[in-house]
Parts: sequence; C-alpha cells; structure tokens
Amino acid sequence: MMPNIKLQSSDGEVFEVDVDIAKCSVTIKTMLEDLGMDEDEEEVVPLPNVNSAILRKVIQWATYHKDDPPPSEDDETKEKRTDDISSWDADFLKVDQGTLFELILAANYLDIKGLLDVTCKTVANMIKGKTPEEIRKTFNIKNDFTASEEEQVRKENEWCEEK
Amino acid sequence: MADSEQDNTDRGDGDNLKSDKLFTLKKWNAVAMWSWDVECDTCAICRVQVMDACLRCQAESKKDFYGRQDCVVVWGECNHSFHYCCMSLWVKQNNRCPLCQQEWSIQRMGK
Amino acid sequence: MSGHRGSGGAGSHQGGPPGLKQIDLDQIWGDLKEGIEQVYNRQCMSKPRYIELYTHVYNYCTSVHQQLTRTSTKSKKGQVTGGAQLVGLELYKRLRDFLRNYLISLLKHGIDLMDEDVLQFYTRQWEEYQFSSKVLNGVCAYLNRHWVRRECEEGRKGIYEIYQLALVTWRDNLFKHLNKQVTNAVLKLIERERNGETINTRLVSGVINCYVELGLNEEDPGAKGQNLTVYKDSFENVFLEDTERFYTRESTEFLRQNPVTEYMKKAEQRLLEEQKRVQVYLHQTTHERLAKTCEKVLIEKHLDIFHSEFQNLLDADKNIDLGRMYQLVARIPNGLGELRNLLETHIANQGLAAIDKCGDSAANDPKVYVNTILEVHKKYNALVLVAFNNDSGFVAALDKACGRFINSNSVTKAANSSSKSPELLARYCDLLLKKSSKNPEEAELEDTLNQVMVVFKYIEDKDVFQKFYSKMLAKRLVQHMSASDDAEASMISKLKQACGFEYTSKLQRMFQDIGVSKDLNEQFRRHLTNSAEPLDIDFSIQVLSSGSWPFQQSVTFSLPTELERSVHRFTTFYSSQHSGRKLNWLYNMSKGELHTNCFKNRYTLQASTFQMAVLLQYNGATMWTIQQLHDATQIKMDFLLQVIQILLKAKLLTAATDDETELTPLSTVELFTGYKNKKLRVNINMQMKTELKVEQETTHKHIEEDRKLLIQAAIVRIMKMRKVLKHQQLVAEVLNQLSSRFKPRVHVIKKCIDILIEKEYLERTEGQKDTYSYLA
Repeated sequence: MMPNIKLQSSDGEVFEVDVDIAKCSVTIKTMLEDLGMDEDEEEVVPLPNVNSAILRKVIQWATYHKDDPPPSEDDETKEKRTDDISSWDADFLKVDQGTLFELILAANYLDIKGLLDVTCKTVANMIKGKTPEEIRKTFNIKNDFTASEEEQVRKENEWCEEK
Repeated sequence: MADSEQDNTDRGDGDNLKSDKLFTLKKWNAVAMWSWDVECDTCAICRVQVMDACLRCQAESKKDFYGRQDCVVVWGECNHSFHYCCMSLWVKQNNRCPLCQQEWSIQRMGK
Repeated sequence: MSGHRGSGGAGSHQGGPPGLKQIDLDQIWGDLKEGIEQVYNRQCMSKPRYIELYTHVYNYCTSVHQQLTRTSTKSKKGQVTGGAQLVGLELYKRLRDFLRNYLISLLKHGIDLMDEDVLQFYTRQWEEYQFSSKVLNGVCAYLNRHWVRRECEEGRKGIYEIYQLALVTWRDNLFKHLNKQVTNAVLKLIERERNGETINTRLVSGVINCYVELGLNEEDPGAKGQNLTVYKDSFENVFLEDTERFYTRESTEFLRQNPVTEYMKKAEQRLLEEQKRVQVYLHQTTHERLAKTCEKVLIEKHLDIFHSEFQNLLDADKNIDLGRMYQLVARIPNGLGELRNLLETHIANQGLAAIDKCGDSAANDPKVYVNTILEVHKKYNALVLVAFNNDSGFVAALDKACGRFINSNSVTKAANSSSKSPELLARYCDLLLKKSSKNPEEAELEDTLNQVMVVFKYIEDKDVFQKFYSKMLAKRLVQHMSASDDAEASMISKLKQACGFEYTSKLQRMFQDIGVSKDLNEQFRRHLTNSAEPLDIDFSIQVLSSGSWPFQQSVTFSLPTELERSVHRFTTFYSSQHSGRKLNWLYNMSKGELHTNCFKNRYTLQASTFQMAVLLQYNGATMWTIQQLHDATQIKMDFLLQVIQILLKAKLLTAATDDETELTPLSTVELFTGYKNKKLRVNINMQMKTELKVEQETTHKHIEEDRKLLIQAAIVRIMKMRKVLKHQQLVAEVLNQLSSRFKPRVHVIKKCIDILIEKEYLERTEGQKDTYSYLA
C-alpha cells in the first residue's frame, strides 16, 4: 500500500492523500526528495496559500490524473493548442471565475503543470473571439487607456486583425 | 594353398586334354584404355580434348563429385568429329561442318 | 498576444483574487535567512518549515510591484520582451551574498590545512554544502522557475539557478583558493597507495566528485551533460604527469634488478591497478588517457628489451610468459610487428632443425618426414592459438614460416629440388591409403588425412604433388590395392576443396572408371554365360578412359594365341555396348595366372602378361635364345631382358651364364624343371627395376659398416693409452675423437665395445661396475 501524506489547507482542514498523488505537485515532490521520505509520517504539511475548497478540487484533479505520463521535454516546444481539453477536465472546470482563478494560483504555487495548463487554456478560450470591450466585460476590467492611447494600440495591432 | 590344389582336381578333366602343355593359362586380368575413334582428338568448336567433357559440361559437373560426364562425341558424314553438345549448338546457327563446310549430317554417335 | 499588458495589470486594478499581495523583501527576508542558515548549519528541517520557506519565496516573487508596471507598453511590436513583470533580482542578490559570506568564513578554517587534513576538511564541507544547496534550491524553486528562467531566456549572463549559483560561489570563493593544496594532497595519497599503503579512497573520490560537479558550462548553464574542465585542468593533467614520472622511475629501477619475465608480471599488475583506480575513485573519462600514459612508460619505452627477451622465451618454450608479453605489447599501436618477425624466423629455424635432426630418415621415410613437419606445426599452432590469441598477424607468421621450411630444407636441398616435399607427402598418402597390415581405423585415418592437408596447404609445387598422387592412386586402383573407397573419396574431396575442380577432375574420373569397369565385367560375364561358347580362361578387364590415367600407351607386343580369343570376344562385346570407341590394350599393366604341369608340384604362378608370354613359349620347346623369344613375343629387347632376369631369379628358367647382367640376345635360356617352391601359389610378378633401391640400401649399409670400423679403431686407441676407463668417459672420448668426421650414435658405440670384448681386446674389470680394462 502506498504511504499517505497529510496536507493542511489555509483554513485548517487536513487531507490525507496517497503520496504518489501528492507528488503531482512538483513542490511537494521536491520537498520529499530534499528532506527524505522516512521522516515522521504523521507530520502535517501546511499549505498556507490554498484553501480547503480549492485544495479539495486540486486533489480531485490529481487523483484523476495520477496515471498520466509525466510531461516530457517535447511538450515545452510543441505548439500550444486550446482545443484539446479532455471532456473530464472540461466538466471539472465548469466552475465560477473566482474558483478558476484560484485553481490557477494553486497550480502555480504547487507547481502542477498539467493543471496549470488546462486552467490557463480554459481562460484563453474565454477570451478567444471577443472584442476588447467584450473581454473587459467578461473579466470585469476597467478601461484605463486614454482615447489617444487606445488609438495608438489599435494602430500598432492593425496588422494582425482579420480582414 | 589348399584352394589351389582343390582347383586343380576340380578342373582335372579339362586340363587332362592339354596336359601335354607345360603351362596353361588360367586367368587374365586385362587393362585397356578406351578413347573415341577420332582423327583429331581436339574438338574444333570448344578446343577441349574430345576425351574430356566440353567446357559447358565441365562447368556443370563441377557441382557433382561423381557426376559422370555424358558428353559424347558425334561424327558427321564428312567423318569430322566434335562434342555432341558443341555441335548441337553449332548447327542452330550454321548447318555445316566447321572444318570442311560440308552440309552437316550425323553419321554416328559416340556411346 | 503576450504583448498586452493586461495580464500583468489585471490583478492590480481589480484587487484580484486572494494571494496576489504586495510584499516587500524585508518582510520575508528575516525569516527566510533564518531558515537558510538552519539549512546550512545542517539542522533538521521539518516539512512545515520547508513549505513555509518556499511560501516566503513564492509570496515575494508573486507580489505585485507598482513601479515595475507599464515598462513595456512603448516597445515596438514583435519585440516586446517578457510579458508579466517577474520579481526576483533583489532576493537573488541576497542569496548570492549569503552564500559568498558563508564560504568566505568557511575558507578561513581550511586555508592553512595540508595533506589529509585539507582533504578531510574539503570533502566534508563539500558534501554538506552540496546537500544544503540542494535543499536551498528546492526552497527557491519558484524563483528558479520564473525569474531565473526568464533572465536566462533573455540572455542575461551570470544568473544561475540557485543550486548552480551555489556551485559557482563555491568555485570562486573556496575552490579557487584551496584547489592547489587539495590536488596535491590527492596526488600524495595516490602515490602512497601505489607504494602499497592502504588509503582512505573516499577522500579522493570526494574531491573528484566535487571537481566534476564544479564543471559548469558558463556559456549555457542549461546545457545537458557535464563539462569537465575543472576536473581536467585542476586534476587530470597533473595526475597524468605525476603518473608518468612515477612509472618511468619505477620501471627503470625494477628492470635493473629483476628479469624481464618478472617485470612483465609487474607491468601487467600495474596496468590492472590503474584501471581499477579509475573505477574506484576517478572519473571514467580518465581511463583512456591514464591507460595510454601507463602503456607508454611501462611498455613502449622498454620494447627493445621485450624484443630480445622474446627470442629467449621462444627458445625456452615459456608459453605463459610469451602470452603475457603478447598481451602487453598488443596494447601498443603497431607494437607487434617485430614479435611477428621474430616468431616467423624462429618457427622456420625450428622446422629446419627438426628435419635436419631426422637426417636421412626424413628423406627416405615419408611418414617420418611428414610427421616431423606436423609436430613443429602443431607446437607453434598451439602457441599462436593460446599465447597469441590467434592474432591474424601471428597466424600469418606461422604460415609464412611453415611455407619456408617445408619447401626448402635439408631434405629438399639434398635432393636438389623443392619438389621433394610434395613427392614425400604424396608417398605418405600412398602409405596411408594402400592396403596393408597397418591400415589405421577409419576415424584415425580421416584424422591423419586432415593432417596431411595441413602440410599440403604449405606445399608450393602442388602440381608435383598431383603428379605423384595420381600415379600412386592409379596403381592402387588398377591393382585393387586401395584400403578403403571411402578414404580415397574423402581425400579426393579434400584436395578438391583445397585446389578446385580442375585439380582433381582426373582423379575423380579414375575413380569412376573403376566403378564402370566393375559393371562392365558383370555384363560381360553374363554375356559369356548366355553365349554358346564360354571362354576357357577366367577373364576380367578394367577399361580406363584415356587421358585421365598416368599410364604409358601400349608397347609393342605380340599377343599369345591363348589370349587372342579373350581379346577378340571382349572387343566384340565392347563394340556392341558402345560405339565410336577404340580400345588400346595395356599389356604391361595386365596380369594373370598360369598353371604349371612341368614341375614336381602343380604351381599357380601369378605373373605379368609379358612373363606369361615368355613362359608360354616353353610349351613349344624347353630352350630358347633370347633373340628367339624376342621374335616370338615382340617385347622390346631391354624390356625382355628385365623380364627374363626376374624369371631367372625366380629359378623358373636357367641360363648358361651365372651373371644375369651378361645376358645377350644369343644367350640361351632353358626351362628349369627342378623348380621348387614351398608355396603352391607363387607371385613372380615382381616390380621391375627394384634393384636400384636395393643398391641404395646396400650403400647405406656400407656406410654403417665403415663407421663401425672407425669407432672400433678409436676405442682401441683410447684404451691403449688409458688402460682402464669408465663407460661414460669412454663414450665421451669416442664422440670427441670422431666428431670431426661424423656423429656416432651411442648405441652403435656400445655395440662396438661388445664386439671388442668378444674379440678380447677389452674386458670388464672385475668387481667394478661399468669399467673396462685394455688387454694387451
């Protein structure tokens, strides 16, 4: 049987997780390698930057993906696509915007590349095909450009606009 | 020794007829050499002795240790002789004796 | 897409989700530094503490710094750098300073240490530092992943991942000041080990590991694989110089005091030790250069000594030492050439000496000759196989040497012809393949024939072998003297394999003819049985293809009427079987049997056809002149004389003259009615011209008799002077006196002493063993 590890969310909830699943997080994996595994197994690992709701989601994602092949070097150089999200991940990410952003932060903090990729792709899909005004509306962003600044930006980016 | 004495008594009858002869011939192990009865012992087509197989047959029999070379000689009406193998290829091109230019027709075959 | 500043600005303007705070370095540095010190002091660290430190770095790096926004808005399209502004430089600087300060103070503890102390210090500190730096690297993973990575991607020099930073800092602040004394201490330790001491190899391997790890590729920190410049520059080069010096001195010293064979063992052992040294505590890449260095000073520099020793070892058959020398010299490029030359000359000389030693027996006894050659070949073939690893160059040397001594040696020189070797080899084959009481078992024969092929391979005049072989094969076949058809076929196929179809085609044809003749006789016998008139003699025949057999065409001969009918009947039969063929009867090869009715007993004479023809003449009269016999038989006169000589010798005929050599055409030869023989079946068909051989043997016998007389004279002279002498001394003096004329064999000397005792020149001294006294 795989040993477990106890992870504690910022709001104090403790999750007992299979070590192999926890190692989806490179941060946790590196820590275990640096400090050695044979130490006190009861020791709780606090994750002060992740709350219990998000940590639960993260563990859920990691459990589902535990048998994925590790990301290879090639993936770095390969052209990124945004239309290759699996149906499980798409369902998993049908969440409100706030949760989505918190998942991104957690993936970044815990260094879980797969989760970071899929969450960022989801955001990218939300932006795709929208006008600046629509994007601002979607993400609730205030326009802080002056009229002349905006004109300048439009001119600079004219070349890539679809005709 | 005993055998030879036995022999003598067995054949007593026959010997008695010639008993006046001091020596009688009993046995002869002869050795003879055969060759083709030809005027020229080289085949004018392949330039190999007719006693030997022609070049083509030699090449083929190389594979076979005991391969008896059935490469016989053929005589034309003109009395010239060649390897049969060589001649049968020759007549396909030219139906004349390569030596005397007479029309080729087989007189006899070696066997 | 990435050029839009929105991604950086989003959080700040919206107040964003929790986690994006603004944090100053000073807010976290205090606690972070405390944690890092904990790491470098090798204090135990808990997981919560580790995560805490990681979170400090994360929070700092993800915090938003107002002053850094909007820096890229004005840059031109397509050239926009970065995207999000990443924070880290300040933290990076503080980490670098921390490491630098840590090492500067560490150096103070080590700078005055020497030898093993400095190694203890250096390796322990390095090990701990390396471990701690790995933990630090983990804690700073976020910094590495984003800020450092971005800096490197943008081509900034001098920025490393934190672990690499730790290495660079070690190199610049500790290694740089300590490496000379550390390397020196390592070399001293290695020298002590070479001198037989046991050392703590972990001290060496610790240093080596450190040097290897320090080999960073500064131009491209992300490049894969190690860069060994530090290891090579600061250790390997000096180490190799040191090694060369050490072994130059040692090998010269050792060779001055020990035999070369001992030196080779030493060198072999040293090479092995150095190979192990690399495995145990050096970097694997050193293996080749170290081996080259050692080979140069341990072997290459002493090649001359090796070469002269090689001959000694060959002379003494020291195969193990020879093998060792081969293994050593083989390491030197092109080093083996001289050994190969020496070996070739040696084998050739050994072969010549072996044949020389056999003396006349080699020339007269094909078996001795061939076996002598084979023994030399076998011995050196085994040497090449085992000691020289069947190295192709040495195999070639063996072959060349064998070719040399087999084709030109004392036997061939005495015969004044290199064709003596093929002749003797062919005669040996005849001995093996001819029916005799000594024919070996099938398997043994096959083995011996394979041995024959070993020698055959080296024979230059293979055509001479073929001539002799075919002559003897023909005789074996026609006279039904082959010991085994299988063995004959096997030998022909070996020759065919070695020399090709052409070489053996006639041999094969001969073999076939015998088979065909067997069938032919069968058919002829059946033909006779079926015909009304059987032949009155027991007739058989062998019909051979002309051109394939090494027989002379027929000689003049008038066939006796008794044989005419057989010839006629068979010729008719043969023509019915074949066409276009003519038969040429080889009477000189034919033979038969006669019954006699003129002597006291009835004999069966096995005789040649010519003998039969002559004897049958005596059915008409009991006395003939040789000229009359010639007229009747048409046998050539000189030939007829030989035939008659044999009949005279067999005492079937008598001549007026006793001396057979004085026969003339006018001599009369009479039937000797008093002929007697113990056997009733007598073979009078003797080989003609055997006289020559007999004469040769008698000359040999004469030489031996003359030598015996010389030995006896010498013994008498010596004993006359010494009066009393021990056996050993007598033999020694005889050998000494006669050495200028020939080398007497000891058993012959013994025989001569016995003769002289019998003749009462000498007597055995009473009461004293092995002592002779001279009798006046």
